[in-house]
Amino acid sequence: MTDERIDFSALDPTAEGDRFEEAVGRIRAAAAPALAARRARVGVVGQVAGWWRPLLAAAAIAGIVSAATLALVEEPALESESEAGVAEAIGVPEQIAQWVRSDELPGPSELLVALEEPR
Amino acid sequence: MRRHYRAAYAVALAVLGNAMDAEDVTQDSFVRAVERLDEVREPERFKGWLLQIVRNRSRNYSGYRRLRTARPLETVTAAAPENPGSDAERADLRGALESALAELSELQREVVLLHDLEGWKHREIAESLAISEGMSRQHLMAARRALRRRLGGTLLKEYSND
Repeated sequence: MTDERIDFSALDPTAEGDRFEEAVGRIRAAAAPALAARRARVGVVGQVAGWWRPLLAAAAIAGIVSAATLALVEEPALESESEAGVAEAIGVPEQIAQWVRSDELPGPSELLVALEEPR
Repeated sequence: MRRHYRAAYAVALAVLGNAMDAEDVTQDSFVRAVERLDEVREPERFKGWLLQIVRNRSRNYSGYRRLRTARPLETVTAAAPENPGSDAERADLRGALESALAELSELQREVVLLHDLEGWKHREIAESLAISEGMSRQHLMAARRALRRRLGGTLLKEYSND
């Protein structure tokens, strides 16, 4: 006989229609502030999502323009930086490296001072 | 809410063993679930997530009640009916069922209530309780046997004929 269902209808909270509707009403009332807050939050997220595509396109264009500008402006600076880096790496004083780059000839006293400088 | 109310109530009743408390905790759990709705990433997992909230809140409530009343479950569940007339019969049955349910383990209560009150299949019960379908069947059989022994055939027969 254990395969027969036990009748729990006396414990069924939905059996008494009015009581059940009251319970549903109580839950709705208590959850109303949380639901309103959620609706407002979802609204903000929805608006941002709506702006997402144009914002993404604008950001992509700005990125391309910035990259191109940086490439054009920073190229000479990188070149001189790399030259100074090589001179420093092989132990040539900075002043001498500048004379080499500018094709200027230093005087004997300037050369002495430059060579005596600590590296 | 209406779709899951009885399952949530069945879980609360399984933990608490008292219909009134179970209804209070069920309603409170629904409110809590709405407040935490953003945590549900997969809608198909909503039912399991909701029932876990009910289970946790019922256990918290149960601990709180034990501290407050220091009365055993049976004393609470076997309380006299308050409604007059035909409602009194229903209240009698409710009290008898609650007392009989108190004899079972929490797991047996949850299995038998989800199956016989809410109409869940063993697959759903097994998934919700993280047990095998075979174990769900065994718990159901044991629970029904204990309930019939406790309630007696006469009471169940009269009840079924209503």
